[in-house]
Amino acid sequence: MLNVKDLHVSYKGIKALRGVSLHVEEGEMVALIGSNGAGKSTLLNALSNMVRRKSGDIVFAGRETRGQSAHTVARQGLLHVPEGRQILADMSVYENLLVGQIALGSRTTRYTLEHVYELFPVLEERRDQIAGTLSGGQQQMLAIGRALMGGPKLLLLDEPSLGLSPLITDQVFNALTKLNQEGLTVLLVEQNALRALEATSRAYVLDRGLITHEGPSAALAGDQTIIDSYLGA
Amino acid sequence: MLSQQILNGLVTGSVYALFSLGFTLIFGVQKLLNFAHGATFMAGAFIAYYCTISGMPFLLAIGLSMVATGVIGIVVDLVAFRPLRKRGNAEFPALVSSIGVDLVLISIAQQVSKTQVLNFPFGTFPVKFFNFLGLRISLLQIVILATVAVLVVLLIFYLKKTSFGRQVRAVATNERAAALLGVNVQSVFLQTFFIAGALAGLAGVLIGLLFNSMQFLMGEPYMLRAFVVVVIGGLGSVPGAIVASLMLGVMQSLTVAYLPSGLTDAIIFTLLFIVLLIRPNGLFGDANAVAGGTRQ
Repeated sequence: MLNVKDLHVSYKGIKALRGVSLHVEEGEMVALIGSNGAGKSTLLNALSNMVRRKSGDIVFAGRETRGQSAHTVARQGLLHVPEGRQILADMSVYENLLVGQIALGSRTTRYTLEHVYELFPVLEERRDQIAGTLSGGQQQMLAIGRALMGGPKLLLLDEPSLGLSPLITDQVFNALTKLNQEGLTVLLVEQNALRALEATSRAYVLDRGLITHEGPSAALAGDQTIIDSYLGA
Repeated sequence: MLSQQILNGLVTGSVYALFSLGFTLIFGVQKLLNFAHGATFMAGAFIAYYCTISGMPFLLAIGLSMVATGVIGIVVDLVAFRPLRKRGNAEFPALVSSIGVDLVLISIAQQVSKTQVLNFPFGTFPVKFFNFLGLRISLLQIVILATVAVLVVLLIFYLKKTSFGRQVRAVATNERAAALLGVNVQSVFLQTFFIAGALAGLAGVLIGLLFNSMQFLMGEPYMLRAFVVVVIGGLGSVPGAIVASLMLGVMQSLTVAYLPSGLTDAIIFTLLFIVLLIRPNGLFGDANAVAGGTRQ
């Protein structure tokens, strides 16, 4: 589904990614963990062509994405739910979902409006509410629901648990697990490393622009250096 | 007499609205001030004039002029804004480059018209007056009010109810998020510039008809007024621009009628000052909407 080879990205003169290679296979849910400033968001932004890469290959669904604009990548089914959710604050919940549908174009998807409402019933209850007045958790659900409307082949999620209570985080992660079980491919970036390793089957650890560890999530969760660096005492 | 002045003011104000809507739309979507808007307005009047005197039916001339000013809008975006946007932080450079385009258009118009004041030939628009409730209203004034009302309704419908309009609002709210959702941001910019240019062009024709006088600098005072309208209404706000335009038109008509004419601008800018003291973000502006404010 996604193949990244030797990706280099410089951001404002700083080498944010220094040769990252990773792959995500169809149907997988893969975690990318690492501390603040490791380059996780830069990596996702490079995958969705929001930042330009210096060198390296990104092949999504069999096509190299070099030189494409961000909206073209989205329309091919690589949907990126950015950090901080970035909902369209002045527009209603329903309008946000309709804008999400633009990425679908003439493709088809199983993620219809009914499907999204079923996954997050609160979005249907608050259909006509201005999105900026939703709580953080509801905004995160809207950001995910909106991306689903675009017919994702691969969903990139940047810190979905950021600023959410443990209870709401559970709800969001349960929804992601459910989506993955239904066949959605997910690449999940999280600072909450324990949560991410529990939810995924495979994981990468990014440190200062380099992948330092990779393997089954369960194995990484048991690795002493990972526990010391990322999982807290 | 007072109600007659108010009526005249509403007619002028409705043309201000047509002119200001495009300006505020571009600001709303791009967070950039397009100072070529005044020359685009002038170009609308000029193109309609030269088409008319070359024998073209007037309605066709208006249509052609709107398409041409729409295209001028697109050229402004491609030439003055897009190259700067690519480098980021375009606010001030784009302001300067749009003034540059403004001056180029003005110079062309100056050459073409040989600095003459142009008038539509007599009978271009039928001169007819109606009297009702003691008010005197010309056919032209009725047509202007109706045209502006229809266009405003269409514009609001477009922005609120169509997929294209939702994309425009999505870009206005959060450009990066819109791009991630598959919205072609560059094409949204071109669309808004086309609409803004066409509306400015039509406003130019209508003002040309209303005062039957057009010259190459005619856009500049309107540019300044549109700026006032957009700031009073709230930067980027469509209803704000409409309300502020009508207010400004009426204010201007009343000051001209009852006070020494030199005071008009002084009063307009005092009004601006007072509104800004009371509501720094304009009548319809919210604190988050101001220049490049990020919304979460």
